[in-house]
Parts: sequence; structure tokens; C-alpha cells
Amino acid sequence: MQEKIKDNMTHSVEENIAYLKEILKDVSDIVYREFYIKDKKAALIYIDGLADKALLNDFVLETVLENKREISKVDEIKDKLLSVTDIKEVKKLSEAVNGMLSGDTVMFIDTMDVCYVIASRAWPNRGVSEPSGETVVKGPREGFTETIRFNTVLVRRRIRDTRLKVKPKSLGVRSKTDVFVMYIDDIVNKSALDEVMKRIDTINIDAVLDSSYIEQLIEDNKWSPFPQIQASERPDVVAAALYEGRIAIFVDCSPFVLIVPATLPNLFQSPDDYNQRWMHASIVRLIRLFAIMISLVLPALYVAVTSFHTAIIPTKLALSIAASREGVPFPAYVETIIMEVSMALLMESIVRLPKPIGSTIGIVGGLIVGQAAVSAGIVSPIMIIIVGLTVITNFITPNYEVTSAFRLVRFLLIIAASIIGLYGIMLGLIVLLIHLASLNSFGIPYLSPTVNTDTSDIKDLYVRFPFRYFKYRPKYMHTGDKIRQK
Amino acid sequence: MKDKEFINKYGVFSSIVVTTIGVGVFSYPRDLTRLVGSDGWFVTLLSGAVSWLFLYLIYRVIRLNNYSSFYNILHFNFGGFLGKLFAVVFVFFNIFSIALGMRVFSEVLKMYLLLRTPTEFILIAMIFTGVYLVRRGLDVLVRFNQIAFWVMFLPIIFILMAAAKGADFTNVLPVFTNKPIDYVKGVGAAIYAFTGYQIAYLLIPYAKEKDKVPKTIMKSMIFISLFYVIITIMALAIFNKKETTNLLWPTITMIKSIDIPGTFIERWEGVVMSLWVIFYYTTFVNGYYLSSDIIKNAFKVEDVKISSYILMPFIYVIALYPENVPELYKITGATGNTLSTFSLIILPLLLLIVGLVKHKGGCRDEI
Repeated sequence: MQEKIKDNMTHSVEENIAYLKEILKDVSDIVYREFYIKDKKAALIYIDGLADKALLNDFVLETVLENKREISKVDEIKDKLLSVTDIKEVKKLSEAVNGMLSGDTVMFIDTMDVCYVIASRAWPNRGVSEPSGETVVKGPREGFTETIRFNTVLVRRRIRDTRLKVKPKSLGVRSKTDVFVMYIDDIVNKSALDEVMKRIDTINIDAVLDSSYIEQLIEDNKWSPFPQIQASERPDVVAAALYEGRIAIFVDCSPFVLIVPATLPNLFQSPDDYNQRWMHASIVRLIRLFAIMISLVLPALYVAVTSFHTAIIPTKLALSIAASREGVPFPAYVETIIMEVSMALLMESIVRLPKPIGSTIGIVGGLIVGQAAVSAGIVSPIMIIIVGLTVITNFITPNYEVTSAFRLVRFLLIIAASIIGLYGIMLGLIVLLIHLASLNSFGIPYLSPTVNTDTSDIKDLYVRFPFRYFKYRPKYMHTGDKIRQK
Repeated sequence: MKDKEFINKYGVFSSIVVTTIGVGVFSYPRDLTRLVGSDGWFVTLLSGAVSWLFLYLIYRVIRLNNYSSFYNILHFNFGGFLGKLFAVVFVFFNIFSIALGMRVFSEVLKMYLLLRTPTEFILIAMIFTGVYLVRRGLDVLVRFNQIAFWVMFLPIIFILMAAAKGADFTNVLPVFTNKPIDYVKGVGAAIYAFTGYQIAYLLIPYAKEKDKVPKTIMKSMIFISLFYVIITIMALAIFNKKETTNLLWPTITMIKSIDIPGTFIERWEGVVMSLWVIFYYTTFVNGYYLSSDIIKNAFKVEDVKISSYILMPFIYVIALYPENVPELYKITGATGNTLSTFSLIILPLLLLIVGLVKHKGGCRDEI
């Protein structure tokens, strides 16, 4: 896959350009600008649109061509002539070409056996805007963009610490995507960091188009429906994670920054839990826990109760359910699965369609078809209530991937309930618990801190204590520096 | 299981608690009330103390043998043949108690939840769910116990509070009305509900902070005793002496009497039964893992997965053996008592004596 570019360049600009033109044949968006510095031939080579033309015009070509400063030797060109900040001497031609492909400008000068690479990256980008996924009531409105440099800046603005490290990597044999691994040196969990580096180095794919590629290539258990890496659009979430000893992975062209190790309780938290007053935040957390249980078991409970254990609900309720199900031609589990599947279809189509049409689908699919299905007697009104409640409670979880995982588990529970009722639901939940208990994320148990609990970790689990009580960083993360405040 | 010590205090505590509290609690108030009347709570505390003594004995035995695994201790103290024999008896005791417990569980389940489901199906579903966990290894088992602890006891607090509505606590009152010999008998019966603490053989060798283990096991025994005391007192308070002795499973009948007006649920025993699936499951799976682990070490089986498959049919057959519930309890009483006396009392005592003698003789080699 890897193409061969020769390493050495010649002293002659002509020859270098000829070689480049040969390997970059039929590439029309490259600009070769040849000119003279005094009597020496020189050339600027860059990709049109990726490089900042104004910079090249005003601070490279202008100073050179108008002979604004006197120089006597070739070596002085860089130090005395060119008025740009970021300029590197590069010996290898392949390195220079890689730089050019990511937006830098290569400068060849006759008689020199090195070339200059001028950092002139300036491509079309989207400004920092509010993240669409993780919205908060109170807190910063900034979200990551597709430009990796902006993203690291957004996080660095929150951590003014010399110990904040940013390690560069280049992934993808063809895409050569920039990847930065960011962590705070004296806080980070060292064994997790080694593991991250090791796993990133094993990646040998042709192209990395989004951080989710890396997420799926380095996760612990690819057979699990649960995400074992947290992806966030919010710089404040990433900064908070770094302060907890976790590691952030930035990927160019992706507004989602990966955070490892991730635990299930991490994925259930939202920045609002910390930005709002602790009492309210705690209640919201408890409600969230309650909601996820409801969304997991409610349809399965409906199936179990209506087909096996009609005795455990009050007679009146049993009668009203029976009355509403009168005329429905399917058994309860078929009815439930039909409704769950149509709900999944509805959600998927709303995500895919352009926004104006999406709302139409919502009205037609949700209201009209739902209403008609009930009047036609295909589904019972109580079923509509249950599916509605399930969807609402499902989306209380801040993380979309966890939501999808729980949706899958819900289907399995419905099937278990249709076979052996409540016993099936309980066994299903036990299997779910076992599965979650067996997961690890980069050496950290997925369920921590609910397992191997340390008392100080409970303060930030089911409820959030006032900040005054957070004396230590999470113990389960095995951080270097353990003290958070005195 | 990369590092050898990976079970923390909370792991040891919750594992002992969830293993010990199982189906025994269904019939516990009946047996006790029949023997000692309203002094059940006192006998429970006594049995808790006695069980703690034996649990502490297990700890001493393991410490004496340098925290090696159960079979290695047997092998070291009794030699190859006797060690294997004792290991098999011990495993048989474990399998026997979890299998009969499973039968009790499935009978209760059939009575209150799944009226027409065949027993065989209930058993098979349970055993396979058990194998699923055993295959994951000890660290996942301990993690599961820790989560299960909360899943089990948080709802139980609310359910007991709801059940206390119709209670008359004066029923507990005539205290210390029995002859001392009755208390001894009572302890003899009650202690069966405390079996399960032998899981400590599995846990302690892997425990972190070994010097804190005695305190942890004491805490777990206190928790278990208090839980049983509450159940006994509640049963006495809600029914009375006579009624409690007549009921097959007083604990369930007690929950049956719960009536919270205006809720979605009318018969709470259905809900509690489904909660009890976890109560039984933890007892079962821990006993299952312990047995599989001993078989693995004793017969040099490659993996705990394979030894768990070997034990699977035994559990199934023993669980299906009793024809009906009275026979089930008869077998539990007769065979169970002999086996548990040997495994829980004689074996650790023997181990301690042999261990002390060997250590005095200067034979301090480690295995």
C-alpha cells in the first residue's frame, strides 16, 4: 500500500521539481511557483486551497522578490529573509511531500541539500459552534470542530499546565490522519496510557476517516453492544476527564474526541451534573438510573405480565388491559416487537432525512399511523403508552451509543419474557450484569466504581456530593496525583 | 487475574453475604419457631456467632497454610489420596446443597410465578446462566457479587418496611422461655441457613490487605445474622408462633400479606419471587464456582470451564431426585446434616489440628 518516495533531494531545483512532477503526475491542484532569490533559482510548491496564499504572497514572495533585506549567504535566507514564524528545515523529500499534502508549503533553493517547509495550513473550516449532541442547560457552549488544532486549543485553554502532554501520531497508510494523544503527565493512569499507545501502534488501516474508526479498532471487546470508549463533542468534558487521569485521543477531521478508559457510570453523566447545584444534579442522576431501568424492562414486563402473571397486577388494571387488547389479533410479545421495530424505524428515518421532512415523518409516522393502528385494532392503546414511555426514558441517557446498546438488550429481554415470563427477565438481567461485569476498558473494570468500590468514589456515583467533599481523584482510575483539593 | 491479590474488602464482604443468604430464608422462621418459639432472634444471633467462629477457623487454616488454595491445603495436610477424598466429599456437599436449594427455588417459583413451566426447564435455564458466569473467571464473579449485593438488599429494605404495616411486635415478647438444650438444637437447625460461608476458601487467598480479612468476615457475619433476625422477628410479628410453624414458607407468606393501596402491583410475592431469582442465583453460582475450582485443582483439569461442565449433570440430577417438597426437606435434613457437619465443622478443625502439628514438627515447607 505504501508508496515509495525517494528520500534524498538534489541540489538542483529543476531536478527536484522534475522528480515531484513525475510522482505527482495528473495532480492538477499543485502549484509550482519558480522564482529567483538574487541569482539563485528557488521554488515554492503547495496545494492550491490547502495553503494560505496571503501568507505566501505577503511574507515569502514579497520579501524575497523586492529584496527588502540584504543577505550574503544562502543559509541566511531562513534566518534573515523570510518573515514567517513556523518554518522547518527538512532533509527528507518524503517528509516534505507529506507536509505539502497536509497544507504546508515546500521551498526549494538551488545549491541547498535541504528544503524549507513553511507551515501555511489554512483550509476551509467550520468555526467553533455549539455541539449538537451533548447539549447542556448550564455550561460552556463550545463544541469541537473538524480541525484538530482548534480542538486541542479548546482543551488547552482549560488546562494551563506544563504537564499537559500532546503526543502526535499519524494513522492511516494513505490518509495519514493526524492523531494527538493528550494527557496530564503526573495524573494519568500510566498502564492505561501504555496500553493506548500500544494499541494505536497496531493500527494498520488504509484510511482513518473519523475517530470512530480508531474507537472500534482499539476497544477491548468488539463483541459487546456497549461502547467501551467515550466519545465527546465537548471540550469541558474532555478537560474534566484529563483531570481525572484519563486519556484523550484527538483525530483530525472528527469533531468527536475519544476518552479512555471509559466506565459505564462515566457514560451516564452529563456536564450538567457538575454545573448545576448538587441537590438537583443528584436527583437528576437518580431519575436517570430509574429511567434506564424502566426503558430496559417495561416492554418485557408488559409481555410477562399479560402472558404469564396476570395475577400480580390489580384485577381492575388486568381487566382494563384485557379490554384494551380485545380485538388485537396478535399475542402480547408479537405486538410488542412490532411496536418496538416500528419505533426503531421511525427514529432511524428521522435521523436520515433532511430536517424539514423529518418533522413530517414524525407527524405521519407517530401520530397518524399510531392513531390509525389503534383504531384499526392492530395494537392496543396501552401498548402505545408503553412504547412511548420506553422511548422517552431511553433518551434520558446522555450518551447515544449507550442508548442503542440498551435498546438491543431490551429486545432480548422481550424475547426472554415471552418464553418464561418474569423468571426470563431476571435471568436476562443477570446475564446483562455478568456481561457488564466482565467488560474492561483499558484495564479498568467497566462497572467501576460500582465494583471494587472505594468509599471516596461513591461521592460521585449515584448522587453527586458538593464539591467540597471531592478530596481525591477517582480511586478506581489509579491516577498518579491523587489529591484533588485540600 | 494478572495480579494475585485482586479482591478488596468489599468484594470479600459482599461475596460471603450473597452466597450465604439464599433460599434458606424461605423456611428459616418456620424451623426456628418450631424449635424455640419466640426466641428465634436469639438463636439466630447465637448461630451467627458460631458460624463466625467457624469462618474465622477457615481464615486461620488458610493463613496457616500460607494462603494457598483449598485443594492445595488438603493435599499438603492429608496427602494425595485422603486429600482427594476430602475434596470430593466437600464438593459433593456443595453440589448437594446448591442442587437441593435449586429444587426448593424452582418449587417456589412454580407455585407463585410459573404455574405450568416444567421444573426441568427452570433448572436448565438456571444452570446455563450459572455456567455463563463461571466461565468468566473469579474476578468477574466477585464483581458480579458486588453489584448483586445492592440489587438484592436495596429493594428488600423497602419490601420489609412495607410488610411491617400489619405487624404486632409484642408477639416477640416472651423471651428466654426455653431450656438450654432447646437453644442448642435451635442452633443446630439454624446453622444450616448459614452454609455458604465456605466460599471464603476461594476468596481469602486472593484478598487484598490480608490483615483486615478477619474484620471483614466478622462484618459479613453480623450483616447476615441481622438480616435473619429481622426476617424472624417480622414473621413472628406478622403471624404468631403457631401460624409461623404451620406455614411452609413463612417468609413468602409474609410478603404475600403486603398491600400497598394505589400501586400497579397487587400481589407482591410475584415481584419478590423475581427478586429472589438473584438471591438464589448468587448462592448457586458461588457454590458452583467453588466446586468447579476444587475439582479443577484436585484432578488437574485444565480449566475451570471444563470442570464446570463436569459438574453440570450432577447438579441437574440431584435437583430432580426428590419427588416432592416434603421429601426434598427430608433429604436436606438427613443427608445435609451429616455432610455439613463433616464439611463445615470437622474438616476445618482437622485441618487446623493437622496444620498446627505439622508446623510444630518444623515442617514449614511451602507448597
